[in-house]
Amino acid sequence: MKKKQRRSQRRSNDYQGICRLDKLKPGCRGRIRRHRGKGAIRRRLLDLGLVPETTVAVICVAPLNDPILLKLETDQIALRKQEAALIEIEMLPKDSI
Amino acid sequence: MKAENSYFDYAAPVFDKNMQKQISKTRPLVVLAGQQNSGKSTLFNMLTGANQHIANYPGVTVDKKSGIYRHNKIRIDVVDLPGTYSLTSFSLEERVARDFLFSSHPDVVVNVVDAANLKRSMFLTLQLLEAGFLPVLALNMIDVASRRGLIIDKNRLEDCLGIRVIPTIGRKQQGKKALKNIIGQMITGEIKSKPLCMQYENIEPLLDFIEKKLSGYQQNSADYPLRWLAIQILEGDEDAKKYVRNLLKDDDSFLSGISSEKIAFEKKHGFDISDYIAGCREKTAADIIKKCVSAPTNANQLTSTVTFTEKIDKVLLNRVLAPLFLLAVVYIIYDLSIIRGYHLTQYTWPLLASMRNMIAGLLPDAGLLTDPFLRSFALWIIDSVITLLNYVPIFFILFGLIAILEDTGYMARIAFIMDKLFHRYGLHGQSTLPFILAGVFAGGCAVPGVMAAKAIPDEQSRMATILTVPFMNCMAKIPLYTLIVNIYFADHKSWAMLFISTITIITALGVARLLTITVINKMPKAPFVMALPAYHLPTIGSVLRRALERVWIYMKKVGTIVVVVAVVIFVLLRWPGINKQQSLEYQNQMEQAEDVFYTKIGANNIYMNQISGDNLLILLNYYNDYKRALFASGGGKRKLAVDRKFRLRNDLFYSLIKPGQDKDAKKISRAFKKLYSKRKRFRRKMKEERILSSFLGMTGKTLEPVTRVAGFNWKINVALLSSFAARESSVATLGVLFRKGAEDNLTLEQRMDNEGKAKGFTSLNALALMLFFALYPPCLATSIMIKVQTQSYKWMFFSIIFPTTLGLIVAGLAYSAGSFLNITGIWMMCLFYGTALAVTFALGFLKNKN
Repeated sequence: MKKKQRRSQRRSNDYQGICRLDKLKPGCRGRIRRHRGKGAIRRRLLDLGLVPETTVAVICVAPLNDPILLKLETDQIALRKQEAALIEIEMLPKDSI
Repeated sequence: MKAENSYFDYAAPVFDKNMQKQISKTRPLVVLAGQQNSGKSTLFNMLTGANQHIANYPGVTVDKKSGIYRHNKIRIDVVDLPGTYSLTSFSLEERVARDFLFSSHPDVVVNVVDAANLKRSMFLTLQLLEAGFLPVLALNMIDVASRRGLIIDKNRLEDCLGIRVIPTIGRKQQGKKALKNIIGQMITGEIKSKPLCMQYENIEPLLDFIEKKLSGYQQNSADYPLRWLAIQILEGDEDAKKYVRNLLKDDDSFLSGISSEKIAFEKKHGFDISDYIAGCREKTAADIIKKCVSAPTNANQLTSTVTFTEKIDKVLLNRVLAPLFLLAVVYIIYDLSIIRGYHLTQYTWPLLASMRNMIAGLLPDAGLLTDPFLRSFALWIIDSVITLLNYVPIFFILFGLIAILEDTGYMARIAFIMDKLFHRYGLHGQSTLPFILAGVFAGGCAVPGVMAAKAIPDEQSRMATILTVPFMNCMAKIPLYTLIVNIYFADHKSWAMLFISTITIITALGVARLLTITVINKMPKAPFVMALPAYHLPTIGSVLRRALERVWIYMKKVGTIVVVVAVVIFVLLRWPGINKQQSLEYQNQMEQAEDVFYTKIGANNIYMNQISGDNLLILLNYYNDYKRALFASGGGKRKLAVDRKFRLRNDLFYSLIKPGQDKDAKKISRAFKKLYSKRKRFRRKMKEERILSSFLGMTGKTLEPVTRVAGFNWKINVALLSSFAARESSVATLGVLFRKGAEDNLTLEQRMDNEGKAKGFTSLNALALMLFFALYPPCLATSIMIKVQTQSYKWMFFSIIFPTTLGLIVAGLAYSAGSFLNITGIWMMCLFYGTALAVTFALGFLKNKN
């Protein structure tokens, strides 16, 4: 019982939560808030369209748990968790559009 | 590395000159710019057809594709830039693309964009406009866009951007004429564009300020548009800063002033100025899309709709299925290219062999014991070239399959699946392709492997890949493995083969880790961020084109090296040669053999006149040619054709080597065959002695004390030394050196086994030899490719010396450990395998301090 409660609590926290992109589970969506990376990596992420205010979804995680595959509009972008950790996002509920 | 050299340093004086050499500006120049996966290459193929060639941009290893086409009787040069997301200096490709755009002054820039993904593509378009280029927008893959329900208002897009827009489908050759017409009109100046000038509201004053400051400093005002330069500085582009610093004669106060302005901006608005610039571009792009594209769903909805590609990925990237599918793909590549391709060579080999025999026929005839120089030299070169040509069918299939993987989009997914494992060892997801090409399990070639490594964006991983790719089992290593396994591990054949095909990747991973934490740990690393293309069906044309293109490059590169190396090895194996006394002795023996022959056939043999004197040598060579031709024919019906040909060449000789009921002819035939094999034996013996007394042989002998730790004698040393030139020659050299018993028709296996038993060469020695061969330095062709790819002799020498030392240490350790424990080769093999696995596994957990 307790376990279930905690789990649902965590889930509801996640929905409004602000977290790092690498923490986002497959199938979940989030809105990019800001980049914490600098230089080349920041630039590359921006070039690929990971611009603040856009919505991304996590399609899946590679078989060995890293990298992750993101979806941005119709694009698929793969990046390592190490880099995903540099992106701060706001979690979105699964069903909202 | 050269890659660190920035454009602003070398562009103006050096780069320009080089460019001028390559592109005479008498012809109009069209440059294709676009992001990766925008279908730029297919559009390039559509414009130029077969008229294209690949070279390198000066000083870097980025491929430069250029081609020519004719329009209204004018020849037009086309250059395909590397795929770039923007015009900044953050990656090598971007830098090269930017360099080329600014230094070549193109007449027309064609900006190829993915119509299905217009918003993303707009980033580059907006930057091209900012940088003062007036691109033609090729709205590529328009069919994919309309399949997704996107309707693009072309005229409106033209109005918004102020440039011409042409819808195209590169794969289907659609839009070719319209594009060529527009390019033609741009060149003649019939079209005037009024390009969009993007506004950055909050920083416009700052941009103005920088522009004003810089105006007047540039000697040639056309070098770089000031507004673009100002934006680059605010974005923090290092190259641009350096350029401005030079321009202002090292006056740093201006740039530090800009930095404080940037900090002030961040304090005021809460975000970075470069984020703001990116945001502005994003907003402008979104605005344009809103005006010009009507889509069934809005952008955020798109993120939650499931595309066809995603459905496929659900299966192919599934946690459990992905590795299985990947293994299946690698196995299919191996089966189709290496195994079936090898079968194919059985059909092409007779062609090559008959070509060789034809050329041999044109050369001066063979001597009795030693051949004329021209003959042995030419045949040596031809044999080297033929060995290479024999691989062509295999490589054609291999390259074709790789092209299919690339065109479908699965290659990028392989990188995605493998990245974690490779990253652990300092490599990169994109190291997979080089390893597959070089022969992960068995069969491949390190040369295309090293060439493919240039696609890896991470400099450190690229170097680690280049240095470990030669460990893979290339096709030329396999004959030696097969030989050793057949002699010493005959009872455990499949285990030994499994050992060989997996130990290489295990050691390669371990070595890559060792290198990345020691020698190359200072090299710059890059993040793994890549857009995975949507799945496409490959077209036969593009796959064939790519396969042919790569086979051709391979042949050109390896071919030239093989010839040069063959010459060097020929010299090293031939000189100083055996002394006069020895050769006299052989001549005496040969004369005796001839005397025996003449006594045997009897003085009153009716054919005596026809085969005495010089005719005997002609007959010997005739028989030799006949035997070779028979061997090359591959038996069956073709054998009859050979018989017919040789009867036609000399009817009398034919009746002597194939006597019917004629008694005299029979006598000759019997005695002649003995004489023939005696001559062959003498020639072999002389060859062995010549090798022994050659430079290479002497080196092998001198090295014997060192190599004894691994249990190698001088013969093995010579084989290994010559295999540095070309791997496949190791077995051939061994064949000459272990010639005792060849006359009794024993196979090389049996001969080596016999001699090995006599001299105490055990399965442990064999294991040491295999290990050394697995770690052996890259062959010369690969070494030269390493030089080309790393742009440094230092790394080339490192790639030779390091594996030699490592190989000797590993082989020596395995040999002495085995001798100490007094176990056989197969047990030592298991022990070694376990140790290597454990060490590599442990290395995977080692943290990189850098």
